[in-house]
Amino acid sequence: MSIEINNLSFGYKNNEVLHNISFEIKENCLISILGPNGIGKTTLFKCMLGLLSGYKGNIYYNDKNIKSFTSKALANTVAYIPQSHYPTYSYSVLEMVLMGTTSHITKISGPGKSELEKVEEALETIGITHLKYRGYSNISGGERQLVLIARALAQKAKILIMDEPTANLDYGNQIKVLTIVKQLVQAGYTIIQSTHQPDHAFLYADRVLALLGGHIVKEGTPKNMITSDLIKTLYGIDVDITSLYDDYIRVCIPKSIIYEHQDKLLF
Amino acid sequence: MYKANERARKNTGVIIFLLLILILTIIVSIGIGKYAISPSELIGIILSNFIDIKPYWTDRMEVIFYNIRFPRIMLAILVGCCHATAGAAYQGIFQNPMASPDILGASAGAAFGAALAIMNDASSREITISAFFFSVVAVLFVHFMSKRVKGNRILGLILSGIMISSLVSAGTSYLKLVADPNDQLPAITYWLMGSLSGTKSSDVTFAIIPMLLGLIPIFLLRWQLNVLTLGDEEAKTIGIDTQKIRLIIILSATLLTASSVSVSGMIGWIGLIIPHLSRFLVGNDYRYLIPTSMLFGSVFLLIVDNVSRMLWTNEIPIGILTAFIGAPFFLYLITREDNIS
Repeated sequence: MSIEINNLSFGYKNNEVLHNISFEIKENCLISILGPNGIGKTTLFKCMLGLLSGYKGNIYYNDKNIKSFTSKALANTVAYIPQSHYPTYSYSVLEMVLMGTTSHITKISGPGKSELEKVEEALETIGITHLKYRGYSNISGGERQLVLIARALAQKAKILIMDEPTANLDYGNQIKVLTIVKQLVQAGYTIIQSTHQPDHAFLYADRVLALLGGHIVKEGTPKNMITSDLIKTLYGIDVDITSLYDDYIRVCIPKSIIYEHQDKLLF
Repeated sequence: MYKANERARKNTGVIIFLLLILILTIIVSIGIGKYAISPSELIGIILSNFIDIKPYWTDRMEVIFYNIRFPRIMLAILVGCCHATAGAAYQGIFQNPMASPDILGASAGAAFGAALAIMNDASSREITISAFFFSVVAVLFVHFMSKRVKGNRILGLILSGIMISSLVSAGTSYLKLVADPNDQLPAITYWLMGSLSGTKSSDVTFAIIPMLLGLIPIFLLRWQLNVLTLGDEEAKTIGIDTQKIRLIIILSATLLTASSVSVSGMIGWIGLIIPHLSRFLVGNDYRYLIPTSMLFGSVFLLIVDNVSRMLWTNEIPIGILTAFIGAPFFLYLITREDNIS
């Protein structure tokens, strides 16, 4: 599904957070949004999820304005994957994923057999069938994040929005989550995620969008986009961008490390 | 850790078990009292409505059954059911395990309405109507007040509820201050303690319609309640019209609380502890939690009411007993080693 955002502006009271943001995302694409804390990434997501309505401009999914969607239709189009959290009441992984199917049933009925099948399928895709009967509060942070991804799959929406999916996860789980995200893009999903790791964008993203002061400062492929200038602008850090494996992969290295140990780095 | 169908089967088993307990408790409750009615006499009294049986019971038994015991038992079941259901629903929509049916001021409003009616020497029917009216008004006031609160809607509701409750309670206190200490003040105090004694069948017919109007929507929307416990934003992104569903649940729970408090006074605790006891039995899934709370609440209040009318020659108000029995039992449960919640 394609996404088009046109002149989007949003402000809380007099404080405008997003100014005239416009961009397009094609189908089957993983787009990473870079930008410092508090710059409006979450606000942008909330607008795209229909959680905030007082914005100016327009948001289109497959050329349909989201203002014309009912809450059910919107849930069938776009799913939100929050950071792994502890809910007030503990549910089993099965029940948690089952909640994702709510937009496919009537208000006064509970999920039935076909919803259970959707759950099985989602758990299978993510590879967490073995967690099915465990309590959502009793599994690790990484596993909880995977459960939330499975819930979004059970929701059968083709656009997934992830707010820093790797925050609070250990290195192994970060890579596990990002690998699954990448596989989902190949399976036909369009995924937008915010990230604090330029390296992750290099490794996994198809497109990168850099936000600063409510404006898009740059948009493009990771290699064209992520330069030492951009990192300096976004985060105020001097980095060297190094390429590895014949420029198949690039990484950011903070210059402070290199300068401090210049004598050791003479090679 | 249960497998899905195993867990569903276990939960269904719990619900059927509670239903059987409820039926058994009803039969026992009809039989016991200062004027005992044996099961065979009970069957005879009921069957004589349909077929011609030569009475082997006294007329007095029939009068006691129809005019005193049956209405009281019905009301105990309904009130217990309504308090527990309202509590479970509020705990869900406010994502707060400490929520109870009086959170939005329904009980405080009813108390004020009852006190006001008693001050004006109203009949018991008028007291009920006044309590119901002020209870609903208090919650509606909280609802509209909360819409003006900036920021988090749920927090706005809870804070408005606390404020309006204390405002209305201050009004009730004032009424108690100026009430005639010889007859009005004791009447108000006794009403506030909550009691099912003196229940008439007209109380049941008065309360049953708003009660059903509250119970049915909550029962039907119980899956949506599961999703609402995840919080507003998450529930919305899953496709729930959170504002609409929450309003329906609040209105339903208000009908439940207002109608039960107006016919039975302030019977506290059930709305808080029964949903929690039910969570111990069937977990947090509202598909099972709502029916379990309904049945458990009914059984609990019926048993406590039996104790209240049997234990001493002078009946003690049931509101006192629910706290006496409920609080220690609850403490025992949450401090148990295998506490699962």
